[in-house]
Amino acid sequence: MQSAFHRRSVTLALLLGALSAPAFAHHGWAWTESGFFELTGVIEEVYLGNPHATLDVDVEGTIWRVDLAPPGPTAASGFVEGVAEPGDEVVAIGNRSADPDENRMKAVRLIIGGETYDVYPSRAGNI
Amino acid sequence: MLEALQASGPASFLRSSFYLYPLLNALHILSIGALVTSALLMDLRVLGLGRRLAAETVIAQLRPVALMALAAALFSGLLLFSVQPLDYAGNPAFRIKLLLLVAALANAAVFTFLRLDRRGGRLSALLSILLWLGVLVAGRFIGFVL
Repeated sequence: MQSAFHRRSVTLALLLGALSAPAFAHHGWAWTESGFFELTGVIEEVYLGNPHATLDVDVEGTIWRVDLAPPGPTAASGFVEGVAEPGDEVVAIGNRSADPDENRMKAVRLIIGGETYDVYPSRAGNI
Repeated sequence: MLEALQASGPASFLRSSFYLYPLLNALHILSIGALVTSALLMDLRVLGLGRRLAAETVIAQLRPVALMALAAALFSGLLLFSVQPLDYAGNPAFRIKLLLLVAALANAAVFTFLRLDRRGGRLSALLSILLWLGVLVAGRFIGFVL
């Protein structure tokens, strides 16, 4: 019984830990700042798959994670395989993480090699 | 090993699929719903609720449902994991979910295979409720933590 009680306490602690974790990242926009933010850097890695496309961008030695839309809308913006490669310069405009220590943003618009890709067209009108 | 999983055919296909990934997500939700619901119904009966049916009857009816749902959840979960295994393996919510899942399965095995007395059975049922709800909540947080 003692050990069962102990296990239950551990479980409760884990549950509370899970609930109170600093729980903001890629779903939705709640984790971002409201004003637009612009990031310029060099593409380190391109990921075009589910559940979200992402870019890893080197900004003067710091790697930023740039979330894009899910693969369908991202491709619909013209941002498909081959339009961006590691080493290309990118300007990403969107909303950065509200956590100042987190090098992460969600892009609304990408500009690469003079081409513009609005991965969230409904929001891009406000840029 | 995670790299090999990431490079596998099904993982590559799922990464770029428009229909299959959300459908697999739906299967994962369906199976978790069935698993957690059947587990909770058995737990509540063990705890004394819904006495119209004998505990043995409830368990005989729902345990196969829970096991089938567990198999479907593991299958769909492994495929979803394979899309970005390195990211998920480092995700704190995913790690907590797996820990809670192992604990929930161990607790279910203890209940099933050890001859617990009434008090032990009730403690196990209570623990089961907490653990399965914990798995559910931790799983939902995967998309919201780094």
